[in-house]
Amino acid sequence: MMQSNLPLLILILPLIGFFVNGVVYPLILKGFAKTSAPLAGITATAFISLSFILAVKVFFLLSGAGHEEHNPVVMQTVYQWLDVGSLHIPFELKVDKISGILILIITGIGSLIHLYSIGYMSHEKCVGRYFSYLNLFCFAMLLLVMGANLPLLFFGWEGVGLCSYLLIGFWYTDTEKADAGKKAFIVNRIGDLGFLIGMFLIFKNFGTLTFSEIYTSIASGDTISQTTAVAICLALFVGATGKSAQIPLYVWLPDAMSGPTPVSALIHAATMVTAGVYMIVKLNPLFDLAPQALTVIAYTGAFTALFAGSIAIAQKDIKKVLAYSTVSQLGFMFLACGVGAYQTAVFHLMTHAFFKALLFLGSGSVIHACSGEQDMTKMGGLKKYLPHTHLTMLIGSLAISGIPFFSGFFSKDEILYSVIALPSGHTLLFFVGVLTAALTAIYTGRMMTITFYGTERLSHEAKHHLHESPATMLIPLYVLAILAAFGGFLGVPHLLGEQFSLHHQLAHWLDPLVPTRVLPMVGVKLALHEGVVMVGSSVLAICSFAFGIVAFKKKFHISDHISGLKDIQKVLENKYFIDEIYFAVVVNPLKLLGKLCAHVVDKVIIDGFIVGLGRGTRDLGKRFKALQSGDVQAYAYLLVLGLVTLLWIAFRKVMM
Amino acid sequence: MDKIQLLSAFLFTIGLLIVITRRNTIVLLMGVELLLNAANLSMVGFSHHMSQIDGQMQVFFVITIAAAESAIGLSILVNLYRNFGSIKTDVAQGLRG
Amino acid sequence: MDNQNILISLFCIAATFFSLVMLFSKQALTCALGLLGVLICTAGIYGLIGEHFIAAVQLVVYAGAIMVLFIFSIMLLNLKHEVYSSNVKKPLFIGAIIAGGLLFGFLSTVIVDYFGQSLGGMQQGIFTREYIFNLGGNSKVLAHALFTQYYMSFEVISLALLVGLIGAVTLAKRKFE
Repeated sequence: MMQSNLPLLILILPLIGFFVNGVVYPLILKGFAKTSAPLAGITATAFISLSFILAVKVFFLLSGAGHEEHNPVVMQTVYQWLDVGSLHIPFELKVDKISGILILIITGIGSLIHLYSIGYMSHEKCVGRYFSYLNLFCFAMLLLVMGANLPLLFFGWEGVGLCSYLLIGFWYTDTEKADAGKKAFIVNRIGDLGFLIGMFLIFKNFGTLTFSEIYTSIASGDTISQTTAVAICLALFVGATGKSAQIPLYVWLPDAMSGPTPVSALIHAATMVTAGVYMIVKLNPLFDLAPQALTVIAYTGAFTALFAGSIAIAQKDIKKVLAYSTVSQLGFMFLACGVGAYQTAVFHLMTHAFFKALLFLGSGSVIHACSGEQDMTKMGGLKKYLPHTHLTMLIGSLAISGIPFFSGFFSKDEILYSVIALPSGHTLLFFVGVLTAALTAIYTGRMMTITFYGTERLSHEAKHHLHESPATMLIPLYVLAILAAFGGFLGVPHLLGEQFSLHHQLAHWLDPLVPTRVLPMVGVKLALHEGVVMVGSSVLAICSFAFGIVAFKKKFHISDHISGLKDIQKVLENKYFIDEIYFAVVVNPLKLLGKLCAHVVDKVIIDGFIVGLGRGTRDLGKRFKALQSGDVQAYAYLLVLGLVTLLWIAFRKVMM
Repeated sequence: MDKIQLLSAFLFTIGLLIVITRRNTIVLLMGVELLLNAANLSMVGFSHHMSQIDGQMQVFFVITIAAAESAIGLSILVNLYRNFGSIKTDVAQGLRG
Repeated sequence: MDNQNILISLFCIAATFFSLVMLFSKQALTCALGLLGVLICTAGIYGLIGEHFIAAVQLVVYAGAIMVLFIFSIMLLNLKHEVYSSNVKKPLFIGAIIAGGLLFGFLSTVIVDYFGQSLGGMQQGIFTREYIFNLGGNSKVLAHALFTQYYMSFEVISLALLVGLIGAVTLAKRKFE
């Protein structure tokens, strides 16, 4: 347990960048749109790069202390935030080993994406706003991973949701894009309700919201009933489905592609969508208490992966393919969590951040070169025009497909093997996972071939402007390509690593926090040796990728190959009409309810009551007006009546 | 001598009824005189019953004041007639509403 | 004494009759005559119980001056165009009768039940008929009390009369432009 100022500095620097770009520059330059792109971009990148350097320093602190302590942590209590009765929430930042990895990813990939954005957004207006939002996002995400208690995590959770909305709807003058931003925020909010319920239940059962205290409480054997644990975990998982785009709350992620491509890379590939996985991994002792919840998570993850993969095969927009690919890969991560292989999930999170960010940035480069064209069927043969982009995207595609020795291979293979090896795995899940892996390779190959190989289908003016991206965009691509290619070696499995004395570094690193499930060589549910799985998946990956490249060179849709599949093609291309179903089942009834409330409840009942009250008072007053006739003798009569009444009342005893 | 008291009560009631009911202002003033008279009668009756003279002294003063008051009342009546052209009690309805 | 009682009863009945005439008459003059009758009857009652001075004052001031004043004003205003409809059937009249009936009922019950009992600790005074007669008669006794015991009230009363005089003249005179 080390106290240090570094966590706060790491957190604050992007926030300062947000203020500088959002407030200081407009004040100095007297206008919100007057900041030039290089100035805004370089400022923002400088701040986040500083954060990255400090994150590296923290990482070395953690690794250095790891020799003495079992579970090294860098802590910093900033101030007492809430202290009400038994509710005690300090603003406390805690960087443990999981957070250490994640802050490196966030700040590192974040810096690369900031650098990329300088080139990508160079001819946009209001660039200062964009960079300030990007920095704000980094701040919120860092708070999410560094928070020492659940409310701070939730603060960051909401913050990234907000920044997602701001950035997706960056070009807000276009109604469609603004609607996409709204959709993201609202669907996220639905998930957040589940998260809040989970937090309330945790507070009620554990009496605390701080992670360390929850861990000690569970470790010391304070048992909570299994149904409570399942309820908590399912509630938290609902929150995770919203944030990490699983069924049923994934619908915002494809629409979120209306935002600028670097945003898609940062938020929807590398960081925000991984918040759900991070939360589950962080609370893994709690989830271990509820095996039923874990089963639900595993099945949801697997099914989402397959579902999204099947949609991705039929998409024409390059960014939509990558969006569904993200949903699919997140499904894999949740599958890994669900069977108990938390370290594998973190491993896949890391490699996915590398190759998905690479793929998104590469696609952004392609879109930039094609002057904004996103439909793949209108591209083609770009290999000779965009060599660097092609090379880096090829590396990314090989990584995601699971081609041996690229990063994706190690992590995906580990997930697949955990599913059959671990006791909580299931054969069905294994086959779903294998099928999805094949689909992944196929649609990635399809994407590569339609975009880069084959005949050129670009329009004439677009071809005129075709140029390779500037250096600010290419450097991040190459850095990420190196990481995607060699990042996998951080998690070499035991089988291969023995000969080369390479250990599974990541498992070793995460050991104190996440118990290492030692994967047996032979599976429990399906008696396959680990090597068999490895070889089999490699072969499958290579074959699928090649199939994808070859089969879709000329014909873009699966219905072009087998004409009988036309209907299926239509369903897949329209994403199973899920959005339309949601509209009919959820949105329109809600709108109807709103209309009902406005016209009936508000107008008739409430207004009628209030107006009726006024009218009734006025009528009553009118009736009382008759008493004041102006006739003095009538008043005198009332006086006499009053006198008689008084006399009778006061002197009744006298009378009797 | 309760007859006198009873008569006094009766005259008082009748006086009240005249004040309340009659629409002619002069008759109203006469009703007021009747009220005063009834009170006088009661006081004299008690003075006789109790063998004291204070009641009679009071009556002396009351009669005087009644005279002054009726004079002023009649001049007000004349003013009322001048302003409204009639002496019905419902011409002056400024208190209406 | 018996004669006295009978006479007093007669005067009472007459007063009652005259007051009812006042209530139910349609014309102002009839009402005035009724009032006159009541005043004379009360004067008679005063005289019969031995208060001669007050009886005389009542006749002279009330019946003589005030009633004349009333009849003068009725005649002077000379309102022929105003017709007053019969009062009896109006709801206000009936209600007033009921209220009056209640009031009279209450008062009469109290009087009949409690007359003669010494309520409030009042004691019999000294001025019985013989005593007054011995002192020189009602007028002498009253005059003596007026100018010794009640002289302040006497002065104030005279001021009040003056005020009344001025007030009546001011109110009734024609306003000069």
